[in-house]
Amino acid sequence: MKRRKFLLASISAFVLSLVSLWYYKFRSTKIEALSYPMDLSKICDRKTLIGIGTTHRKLTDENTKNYLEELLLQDAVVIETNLKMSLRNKVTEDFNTGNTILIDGWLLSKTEARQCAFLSMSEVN
Amino acid sequence: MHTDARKLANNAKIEGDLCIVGAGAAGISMALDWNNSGKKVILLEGGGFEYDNKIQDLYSGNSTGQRYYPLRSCRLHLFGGTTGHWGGMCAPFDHIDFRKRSWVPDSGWPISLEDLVPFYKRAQGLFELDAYNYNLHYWQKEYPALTPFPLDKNIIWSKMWQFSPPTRFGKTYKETIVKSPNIHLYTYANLTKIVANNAVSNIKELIVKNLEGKTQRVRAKKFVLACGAIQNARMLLASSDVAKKGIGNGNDLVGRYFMEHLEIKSAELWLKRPISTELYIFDYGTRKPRAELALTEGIQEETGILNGSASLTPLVMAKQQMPLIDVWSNEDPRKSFDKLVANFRESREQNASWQNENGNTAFELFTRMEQAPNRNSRVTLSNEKDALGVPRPQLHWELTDLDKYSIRKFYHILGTQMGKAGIGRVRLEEFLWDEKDNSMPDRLGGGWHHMGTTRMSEDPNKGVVDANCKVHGISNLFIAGSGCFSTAGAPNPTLTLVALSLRLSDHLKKG
Ligand SMILES: Cc1cc2nc3c(=O)[nH]c(=O)nc-3n(C[C@H](O)[C@H](O)[C@H](O)COP(=O)(O)OP(=O)(O)OC[C@H]3O[C@@H](n4cnc5c(N)ncnc54)[C@H](O)[C@@H]3O)c2cc1C
Repeated sequence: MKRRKFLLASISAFVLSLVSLWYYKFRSTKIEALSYPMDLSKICDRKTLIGIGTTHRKLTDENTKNYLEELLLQDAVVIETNLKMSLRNKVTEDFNTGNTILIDGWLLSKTEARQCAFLSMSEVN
Repeated sequence: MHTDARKLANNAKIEGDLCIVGAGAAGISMALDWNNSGKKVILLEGGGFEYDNKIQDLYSGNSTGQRYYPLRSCRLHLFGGTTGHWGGMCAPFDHIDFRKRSWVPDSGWPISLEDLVPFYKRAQGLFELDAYNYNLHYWQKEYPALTPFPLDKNIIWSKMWQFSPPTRFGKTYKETIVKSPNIHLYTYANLTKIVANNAVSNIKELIVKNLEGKTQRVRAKKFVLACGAIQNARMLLASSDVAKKGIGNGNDLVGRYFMEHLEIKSAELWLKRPISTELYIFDYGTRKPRAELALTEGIQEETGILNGSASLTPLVMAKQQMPLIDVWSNEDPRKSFDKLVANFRESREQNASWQNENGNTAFELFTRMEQAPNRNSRVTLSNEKDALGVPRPQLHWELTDLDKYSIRKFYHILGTQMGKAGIGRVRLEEFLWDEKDNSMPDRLGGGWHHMGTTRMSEDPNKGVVDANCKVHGISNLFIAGSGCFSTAGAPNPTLTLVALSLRLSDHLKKG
């Protein structure tokens, strides 16, 4: 009986750790995508991106991670492997529709500005 | 033929068919057009063949409003005029520059681009330029590396420029003028007064003086003022014996609507990856044409902005360059010129990295934009007089909200388009950040382009000269030069002002 219990507990623990590992990986991939303005990162260094993000938060009321996440994921196809690309497409779409913002002089897509804001609040920062 | 007016007798009379005052780009172009015509052409030049400090001093004056270059040094007072210092950048005006635009008050010329094209073609030769073709595709055949950024053609286009050596009119055309059988050049012959008949409907004669204390009188059937936009207005205003407000100034327009080009570092362009194209880069060693980024007529109309363009300079190089207005601060034009040349040369030589074979990733975006016509931006006379007794000029350079709005909007559009095309990002200079701030910083410069002081309109209430550059109400007085521009246009003015002068020349020949 004891042995059965022990086996069950071990399996549950294993599954749980798998799930949390998966969740952790999913979450960190997501956070990475949310705080990675793909094109802008090729132009600006991390310090500048964080600076842009900090200013964005001051200029707008978008200054909690949850709210930024909510805004960033609006309309984006939230598929783990595609999040980075879908956010990138959203950036292009912003430029197409004039959904832009001026931050520290940079003429940016609102999506990438939010990504910078997310980065500036993120624990990896 | 050449005569030094200082050697003529005091009160001597000079007579001819046509009298052109001022031997700069406009005056010399017109005179050359009359070479061997059989008509006696008098060409009066205030200076000599060499720079003379005392003559240059006749150009001194004050300015208020937006900071400007010293009036003494922003023009040259000798045979050849300011072409002794010009940079040689040439491009024709765009269609839209001549149009009446609902969003640009006082815009619209009584002539169109088509009216000027035949004269642009003739003007090209005077500047030793290539064919009159400013189409990118034409130049790509000769220079395949002139590839444009892949931007939306409905919004952004490549405005092409050609480069004159630059032709120094004083050196290049001296011999032809001096040897001409019918052009009578008088140096040291400074116009000081235009004398009209009592009805101010006709010019009787010109009073010409020199610093040796001699006066001469000049009579001709027709007179053309070609002394530059500030000086032409000054001469008309100073001739107030019969016409109390000055000649041609019955409607209080002479000297008003002074315009410059707004030239200022406005933004930076950061590319995702280096793009290797020679299209936008000024190649100092050659006279290869290059382009600036310009906005289409459609988007100008849609957003209600002025016409202008942006040039690209590798940022490493541009960072070393001082603003033009700080460089050109000496009252002596030769010293200012030397400093300007050194400013460009040093920035280039100290930063060889801009010639990176793979191309650059960061550029300065430098604006060249027309100034909106503004009645309050004007040349008047000061109480002070020069050594020949002519009141000195007083410039009040005044800008409007539309000027600042247009520059800001231009870079918003450019930034959006760069992002849309996935090329890179634009970072605006701080003076453009606050949408409510319509002031211009002190580092704004001009191109030493003086325009609009005797603007063209068919309506005498709206312009000093008509479509043929004839002063309204006066049968035999004409103005040559950029003073006649109704609006400033996007590009530098000299090619256009010479084309306009050649058109005037044609008109005078027909009359
Ligand atoms: C540093 C610099 C760079 C420039 N670069 C460019 C460029 O790249 N492209 C461009 O298009 N333009 C450029 N310009 C502007 C260009 O030089 C002028 O547009 C052009 O020279 C104007 O021609 P103009 O004949 O009207 O006047 P000017 O060339 O100034 O000639 C006027 C003539 O009138 C004479 N004069 C004046 N008063 C009297 C008088 N009372 N009596 C008799 N004679 C008189 C003067 O001595 C002079 O010879 C530049 C100017 C400067 C200073």
